[in-house]
Amino acid sequence: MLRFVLLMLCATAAHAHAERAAAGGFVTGILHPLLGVDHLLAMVAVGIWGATLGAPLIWALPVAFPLLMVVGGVLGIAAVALPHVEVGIAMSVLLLGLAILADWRAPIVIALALVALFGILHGHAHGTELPASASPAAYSAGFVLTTGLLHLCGIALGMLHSTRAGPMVLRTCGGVIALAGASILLGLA
Amino acid sequence: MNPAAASLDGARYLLGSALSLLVLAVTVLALCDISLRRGLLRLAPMAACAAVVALVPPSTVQAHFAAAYLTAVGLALAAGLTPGKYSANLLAACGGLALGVTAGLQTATAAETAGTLAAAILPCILGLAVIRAVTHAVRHSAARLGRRIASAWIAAIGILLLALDLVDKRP
Repeated sequence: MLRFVLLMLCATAAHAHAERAAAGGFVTGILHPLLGVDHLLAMVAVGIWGATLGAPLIWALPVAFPLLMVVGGVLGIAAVALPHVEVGIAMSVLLLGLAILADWRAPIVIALALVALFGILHGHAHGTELPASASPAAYSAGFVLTTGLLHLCGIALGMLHSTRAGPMVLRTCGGVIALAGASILLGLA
Repeated sequence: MNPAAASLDGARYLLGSALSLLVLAVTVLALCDISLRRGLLRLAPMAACAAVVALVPPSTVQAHFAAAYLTAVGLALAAGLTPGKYSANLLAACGGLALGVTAGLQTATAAETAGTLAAAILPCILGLAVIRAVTHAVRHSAARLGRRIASAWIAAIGILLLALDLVDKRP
């Protein structure tokens, strides 16, 4: 099936169904992070946290997240089971929210390791859904576009850190994200 | 089909192909750090190499070339590397080959190929000009940050496509 889909990506203009499927996959990919509140909050939180931590984490976190997410995605596609993925995703929202709330100046290695772990968990969840989507490339492109924009939104919010009221606004955002994470976690229990 | 309609078909196919657009995006991101004039000049080898693909028969290796291109260039840009004078030429040529493969030029007619190439070059020119304008308007560090993040995500898609194929090939 996957081989067929990949071949369709390289097909000619005659395949109208492939175009329609690709368009559907693209739209699904765009909407996926926006419709899942856990993914949406985690992506924005990664951007905010990276921005408050400053260089090099301001770019390293949003760069590391997708690359490790792909690893998780491949594990999901390969049907490699990871324990408690949904709980881990909820925990990622909670912990990122708490990190912003507490203005935690995490060491580079620990921040990268945490974001890498969260990326793998989010990726695993997507990976299990990806093979069923119409076009992996279109789905990925849509998902990437939205997630990249969410990261940038988070970074833009995090830039408020240097303003007078910024730290308080960001801590409030962190608190709201942490509460949402706790709520998602309780919903899973 | 008349040539104008065929050209339009080629252009439409390219604009509807996510993989082709990603190839264009990563190529523009790679070329936007050199001067605008040099960047625009690199579009010529890219178009030439894309046209060459139209003469080459399809093979399995070529299908993976675009994903490998996205991965390699995306990772390099995410790591903060920028192409030099000669590597920019090589990169544009590889981008052209990847574009030709993803846009299905092996099976396209001459008119469709012309339409595809026109539809590929115009957004590249626009993209290079817009990125240059944005870089001047906002802080240079902010522009570099955006480029790194975008490149990382494009690399991630490339890795994902390669991995999908590997997973599919498992016994």
